[in-house]
Amino acid sequence: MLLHTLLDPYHLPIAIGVFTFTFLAIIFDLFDKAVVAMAGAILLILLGVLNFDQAIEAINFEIIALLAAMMIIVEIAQQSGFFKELNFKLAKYSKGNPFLIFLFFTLITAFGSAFLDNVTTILIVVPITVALVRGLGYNPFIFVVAEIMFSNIGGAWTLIGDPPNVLVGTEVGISFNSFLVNLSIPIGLSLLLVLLAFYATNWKILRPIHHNLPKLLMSNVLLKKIEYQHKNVKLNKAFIWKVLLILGFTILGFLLQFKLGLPIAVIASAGAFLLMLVVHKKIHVHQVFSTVEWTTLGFFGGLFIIVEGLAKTGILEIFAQWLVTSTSNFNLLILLILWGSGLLSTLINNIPFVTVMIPILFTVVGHFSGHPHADILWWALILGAALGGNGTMIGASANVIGVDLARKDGVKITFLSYLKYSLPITLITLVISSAYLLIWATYF
Amino acid sequence: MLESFEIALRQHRIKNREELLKQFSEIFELVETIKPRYAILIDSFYKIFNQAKGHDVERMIRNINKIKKSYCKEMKDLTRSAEKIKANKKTILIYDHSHSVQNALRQLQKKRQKFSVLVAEQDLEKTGDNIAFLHKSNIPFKVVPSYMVSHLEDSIDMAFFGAVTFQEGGRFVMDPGSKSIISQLRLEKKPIYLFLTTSKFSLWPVKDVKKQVHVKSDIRNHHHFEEVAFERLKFSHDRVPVDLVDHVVTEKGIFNPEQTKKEFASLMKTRKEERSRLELP
Repeated sequence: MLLHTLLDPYHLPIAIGVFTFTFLAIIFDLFDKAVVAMAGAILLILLGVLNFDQAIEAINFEIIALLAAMMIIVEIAQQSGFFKELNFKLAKYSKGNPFLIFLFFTLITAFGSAFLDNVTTILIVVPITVALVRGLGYNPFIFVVAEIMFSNIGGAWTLIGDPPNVLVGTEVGISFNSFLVNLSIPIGLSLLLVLLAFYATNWKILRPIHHNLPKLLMSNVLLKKIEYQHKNVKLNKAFIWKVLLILGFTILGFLLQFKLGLPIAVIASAGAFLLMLVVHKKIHVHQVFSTVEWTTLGFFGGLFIIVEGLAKTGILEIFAQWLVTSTSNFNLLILLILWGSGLLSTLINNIPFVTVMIPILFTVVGHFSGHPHADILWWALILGAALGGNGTMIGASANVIGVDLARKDGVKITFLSYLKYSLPITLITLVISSAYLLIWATYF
Repeated sequence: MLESFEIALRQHRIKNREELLKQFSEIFELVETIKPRYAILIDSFYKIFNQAKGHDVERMIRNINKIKKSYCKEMKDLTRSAEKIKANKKTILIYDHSHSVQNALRQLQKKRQKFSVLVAEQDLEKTGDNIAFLHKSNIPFKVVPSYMVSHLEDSIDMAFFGAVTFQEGGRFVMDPGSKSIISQLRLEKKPIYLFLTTSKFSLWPVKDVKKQVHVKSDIRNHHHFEEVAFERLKFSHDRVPVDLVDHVVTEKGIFNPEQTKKEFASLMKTRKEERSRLELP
């Protein structure tokens, strides 16, 4: 207690110091990010910036429960063999045609990322794409880079698509449906334009192969091989149907969230535990729980406490006031938040960034409470953080995992070769978002 | 490969005859470069091309189907040859993953011979496939690491192997690890059967034997977590002299090593004559 009394006047520098160190350690990958965040949180408690009860209250357990539940559902879906079956069907229907392979796999990545974790989606699609494309004699580089980008763009579409969306959605109380309604236009347009941009710049690789007999032959040889391997995999159709049914019900629950009057985490948890009950004979519960990314959940918990420490010192309030007074032009503020979060997210992890921005933006939105479109500022943060994640190879977890997976399979993706595609595409998607948000704010 | 070629021929939209011929040449080059070189494959492509004069695609597709049928018949005949093996109440060791061996085992089972199988492990995928096959076929089996086969020598009555091809000089190209198991069983005078259709013989002179060695730098923790870096060598195939094998089961019957060599020489001579008459692209 004596120590706490002595340190009382220093809470501000301590909170800033812990926050800065944690942020730098995450950016430069000095330690495991979960350990850094939790250690920082403990340090704040030890030094008296927060007491234990305040620290526990700072953790948003709705987010933790939602993420854990979705991780369980995805793991069981993976064990059912559904994703393998889906990949096989996509490969089969593409008939080895690079034009169709690119179309199918990028769109399925975007759609999958909207409802599953981006990293999980990348882990599922990248290995089979590399095997398929390499077998056809092409360099899988462009396919992997596109999949990473479509994963981030698709992930921005729904409340559960990307952790920053979960953070904003649950903290602010934005519904699953609001995400679908308000983001379908910018995300749909971004997907379309990015798809066209990839086809236009890589037409030599992606064009159909009807006029190339050797390539047609190699494609079919590879498809036969995949078909043979797939024949030996015994699928349990009942298991797959149970997974799909409960996954469908869970998503339906998300859509009817407000009618049900339930927090989204409760709907996801109900889905996860119902699924475990229904397929309990097919899974090992210990194994399913061991696949939950506890480090990610610990990272979130630690971050919530660190940001609460900063908030308690009043520094976030000061920053928010500065942001509000820096411009009286609401449209400019939208652009400032969209592009600021977009550009910062190209380099730093967007989860801690969004965690810090939420309390700041609460103050800013409160200041503009009389404005009919004050909520657009939240959408600017969501779009900026998610689409900015595409900017560099280290902008989002899916990028790092996708590049690592490709590298393991011998596909070389360097920081600059990635940047060559990622920078223009990030700019395109941010410009689309800017136009959309400004039109919304000005004309509706 | 032939099935894939048939589908490719149906899918292509090349109208220009010269362009089509150019692309056929690319395919021939591709087929020739596949290692090990399969006579069955190379000859099939030449036959298909020559009989259709390179431009009648429908005729080529008909030829592909004819060839596929003849290969199916060969496999059936090989399986029928295998019926002569007396395997009742015996334990058969299998090692590699060969459809010819699997078909032979199924045929012996059909003929009401009751036997059990000992699977000597190799890589996970191939062993897994053998296990799946035996389980599905209701054939009793046990699995043993291939380097522990010596402990079960007394219980093994015979061994079945498949091969990728048979080359000039009287050597079979087989899965890596086959030679040591065959040598070991040979020492114990256990009958060794090898299953291979004659269309898979490599009917051309062997110029130089290139070993396909996969060298991979590896780092592992040994002794108190100290990292040790080293080169890890892996080989793609074993080359096994025919004299180490007792019986070669083909679609034409069961041969001993001498008969196999003679059959090879005769087929090689015939092929040489036929090839000299072929118009190559």
